[in-house]
Amino acid sequence: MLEIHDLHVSVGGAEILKGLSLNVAAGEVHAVMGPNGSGKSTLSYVLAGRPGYDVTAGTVRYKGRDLLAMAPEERAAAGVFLAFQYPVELPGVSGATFLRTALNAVRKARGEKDLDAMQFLKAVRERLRSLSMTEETLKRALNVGFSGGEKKRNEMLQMALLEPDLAVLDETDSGLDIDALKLVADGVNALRAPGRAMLVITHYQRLLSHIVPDRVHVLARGRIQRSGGKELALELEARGYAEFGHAA
Amino acid sequence: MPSSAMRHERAMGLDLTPPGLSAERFLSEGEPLAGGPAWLAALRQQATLRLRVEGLPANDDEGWRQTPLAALKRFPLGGRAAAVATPASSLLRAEERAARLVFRNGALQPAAGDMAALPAGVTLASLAELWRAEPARLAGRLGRLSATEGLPFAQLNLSLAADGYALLIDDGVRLERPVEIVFAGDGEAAWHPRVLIALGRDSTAAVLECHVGRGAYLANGVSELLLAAGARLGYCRVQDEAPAALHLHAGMAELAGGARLDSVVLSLGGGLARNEWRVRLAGEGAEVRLDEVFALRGRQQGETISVIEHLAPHTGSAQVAKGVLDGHARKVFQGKIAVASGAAKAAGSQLNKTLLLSRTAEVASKPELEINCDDVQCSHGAAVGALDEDQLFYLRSRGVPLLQAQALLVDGFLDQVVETVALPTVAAALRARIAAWLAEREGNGT
Amino acid sequence: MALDAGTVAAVDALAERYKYGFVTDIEQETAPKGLNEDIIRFISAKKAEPEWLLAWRLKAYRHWLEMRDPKWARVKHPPIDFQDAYYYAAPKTKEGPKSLDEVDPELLRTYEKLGIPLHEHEILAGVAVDAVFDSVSVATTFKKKLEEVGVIFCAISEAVQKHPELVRRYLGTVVPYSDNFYATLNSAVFTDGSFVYLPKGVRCPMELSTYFRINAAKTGQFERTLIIADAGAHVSYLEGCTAPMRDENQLHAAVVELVALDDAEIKYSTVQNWYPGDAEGRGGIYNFVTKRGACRGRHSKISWTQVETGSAITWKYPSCILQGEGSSGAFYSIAIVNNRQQADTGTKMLHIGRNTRSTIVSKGISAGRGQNTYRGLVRMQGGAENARNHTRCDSLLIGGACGAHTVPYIESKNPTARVEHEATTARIGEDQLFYCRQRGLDEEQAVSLIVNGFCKEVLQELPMEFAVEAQKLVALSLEGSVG
Repeated sequence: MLEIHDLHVSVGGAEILKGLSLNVAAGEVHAVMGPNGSGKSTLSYVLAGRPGYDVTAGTVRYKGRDLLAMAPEERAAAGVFLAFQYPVELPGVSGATFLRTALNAVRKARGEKDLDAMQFLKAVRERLRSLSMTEETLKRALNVGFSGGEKKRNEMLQMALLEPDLAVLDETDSGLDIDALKLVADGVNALRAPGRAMLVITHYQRLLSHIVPDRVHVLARGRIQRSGGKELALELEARGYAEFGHAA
Repeated sequence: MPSSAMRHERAMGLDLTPPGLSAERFLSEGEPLAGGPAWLAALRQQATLRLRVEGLPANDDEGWRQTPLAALKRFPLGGRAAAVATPASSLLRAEERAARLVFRNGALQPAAGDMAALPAGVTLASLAELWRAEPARLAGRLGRLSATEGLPFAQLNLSLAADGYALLIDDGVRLERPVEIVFAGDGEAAWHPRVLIALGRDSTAAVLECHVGRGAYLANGVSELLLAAGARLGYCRVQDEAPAALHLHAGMAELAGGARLDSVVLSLGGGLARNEWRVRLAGEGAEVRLDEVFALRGRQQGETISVIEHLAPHTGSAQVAKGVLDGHARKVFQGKIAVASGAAKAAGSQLNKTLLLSRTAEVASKPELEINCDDVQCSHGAAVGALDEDQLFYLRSRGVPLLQAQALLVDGFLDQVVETVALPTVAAALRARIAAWLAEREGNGT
Repeated sequence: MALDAGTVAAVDALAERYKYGFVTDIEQETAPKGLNEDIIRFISAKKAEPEWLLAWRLKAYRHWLEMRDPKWARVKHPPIDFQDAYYYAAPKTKEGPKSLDEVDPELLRTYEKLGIPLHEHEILAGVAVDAVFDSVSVATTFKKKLEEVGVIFCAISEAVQKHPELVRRYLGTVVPYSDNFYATLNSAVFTDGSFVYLPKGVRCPMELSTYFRINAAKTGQFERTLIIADAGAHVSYLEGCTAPMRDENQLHAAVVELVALDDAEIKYSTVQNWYPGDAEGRGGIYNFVTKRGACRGRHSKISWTQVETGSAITWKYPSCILQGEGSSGAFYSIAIVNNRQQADTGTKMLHIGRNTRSTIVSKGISAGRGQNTYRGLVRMQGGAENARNHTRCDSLLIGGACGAHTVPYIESKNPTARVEHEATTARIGEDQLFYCRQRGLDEEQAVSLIVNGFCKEVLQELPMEFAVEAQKLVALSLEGSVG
């Protein structure tokens, strides 16, 4: 599903990713772990197409297509979803308006019909329940004045609605207490499906005890330094990232 | 902007200034000082000509809408009074300052100065002395900013300035303690003090200017501040002129890349006191802080007219003007932040807050943003009102008399500006002067 | 900086998208070109006006000859040749229609095309419309139903005939004939407009609305609207405007006067969509308008809501004179400039009475090479005990070639009065845009969503039917502003 080959990325002239390669097949959940400053967020932003990230070399293919040539909204329509580490506030834009606009934009790009207000509400209500969220959330301006946990849950709600094929979760665990973490993990696990790939980016192992990955990669100094099974996460938890040239 | 059209009409012979008040009258009552280099004479001539052609401002000039121009006639427009040798008070103790210069009625008082402790690389001198002895050090600097700005009284200053001071700091030199300059007036006279502060690359200096006096006089000053890359200047002016004095001042600054100007004006004196500012943030990363504290009473009118131009990327400006008005005092604030296209990532903020302590005080505030670049973060705010009734009541219910309660709250309000002054000695001087103003108010029982 | 480059390119490539730019082919009757006392007599005679009104017009005209056009606004345009325009243009009809059946079908089709059906069976439920076509009112709907409750809603020329005492009592009392250059010109040559009178205690049973259409070439539109709400009356009034696309600039210099007596409330909403000119700034309406309301009665209320998306140049400052004790004024504004549009708009809140209140919310959006200025005055007079004002002014910039300027004037002469002003200027957030795009919105949708959020406070002040329209208009006005 996702094939990253020898990816070099610079931000503001400084090279952050220095030849990163990674393959994720459909149905798999991969974790990318690494110390602060290793390029984890850069990887997630490049996959989503955030402006300001210069790809100087390498390729990214998604479902066989050249992902880097696609606009952010084309990627979203093609099924790429990024759960932001810091979800953005949209003053004056209610959660409901935003969700419906996004959902219908993606549906349109996929050749599906717009959902009317009733269908939309029905679809949202189901997901709200499973995330223990209230409809009140939808009336508020998106992410404005939300707590860290509320923001992250809101990201999970959007992911559940947009039903992506490739979900990239950027430090989704940061700022969450254990109950919220569990809730988010349940949301993610509910979306695990044979046709869907996930890339879970995290600094800590704790999220991975709730979302058990098929593969674990260690990202440090701009490259994947080591890959292994889920036990690698536990090993890192015990030994830190020191051997990869970073303090934990 | 009506002013250019008005200027044009005035050039056509339609003078809109109040009768009896003309540029000619000011010019004829002043005596330009002979001497100095040829380039200075040429600059002076240009300024005179320009003033004659463009004339004095009129009330339909946007920047002068709120000024009682006819009242200018009350003040002496020219003449020179003999200096009386009374000792000038000082806001800083000798050990707190790097040097001191004293001017009386515009003329230097060498005996009252104290220049012993100046380190190498620092020149602090009378301008008149410098343009006679070492004019090359002033060439290209003196008049560089004021000559191009269309400020009529700055032209008058250039035309008639007899003295003032220059502070020149060499590259990399750090002057740790502030230089103190006292301008004292005590006569029916007019003077046009001129200031040039030029800081070399990465140099640092601080200046505390104190303007005091007795009687009725006109002090029409111009300061040009030139900051080379990375230079830092702290510029504090205590404007404590006599209640019958007319104080006009134009501060013009140009900041190269990474330079920083921290300016604060404490505005207490003058029958009519007007502060014009023109700040050009010309180099990338240049930053200015242009603060003011004002406290006016009686029939005083205070005016602050500022234009901060962001001309380069990553430039920053912050302006806070806070003050109190008592009696029949009137305050005019017109502050503009202008961001040129190309000044990406500019950040500007502006805040004007006024407390009205009496039923007859008045305020006119016009904070203005002129933004021609999309990549900016700019904001401004203004607020006018009285002291908080709940706070006053709380203090009074604890036994604090009304005037004292007001003084406490006003002090707290003004101190929000003073506390940002970097040099503790200067901040202490400002605090002392504000405390004295409040004590006088309490003493008068107004 | 993908946005900036894209913006410039998109603006250059911007196609005509103004869908109201058609011309109605209809036989016109015009006054001779130019402006002089005879033209004014002609207009007055056409409307069979009483002597006092003609005298008032002539007084205004003579005063106007002594005036110069204002230069203080931040707008640029070549000098206007006031002799090179028609001051009266009207569709040719017999006598003036008595009912809708007599209105020229071509005119009815025009309004249908504009989305304003005038047949009562098709009309937006609960909205009465006065349709003004160039210099005359061509139809007013729901008149009977309004008459039943005593509400007078008609063309001002009709009011001059049928209710001369009301017109004479209030005309020019809020905006005097000598007020300003364009208002004085309007006083001399105004042709038509709406008149509304609400008797004591009447809550208007429906929204009232006027739809202004400029059709004829080289014609100025000078309408005059007068709304009086007697004690305890309530009314919500909407105004919409469009014009054909023409290469020349046309002048629209209207005057609106509102009077609210004790406990009366007037809510005045405008969706201004005059032809803005093309991408190079050719053509478009000069919209130089004076709108002012007097809160004369105790606890009276006037609120202005405007969505200004059209016109080459907008110059208007809907204002409130807060005389009555406890009266309140509000100004909610969205002003959008794109391409080479210029807007200098804002409000004046003059607090005279005790306990008066005012609220100002202004949202300016600049795109393309547009220049947008908020200019506002809040003045607390000496007698404005405990008066309050709060002003919030936000500007949003889209692209690097536009400008956003904020010029508030704040004056206070009363220590118990409180004035608070806040303003911000920033560009549309790149992280917001990216976030929306990551969720599948294209850049234009994302901009439209963010801008609508930015404007929400103002949009929600509009009556329901208008709010939806306005929201679409906001999106439409910004089309092509991002690439």
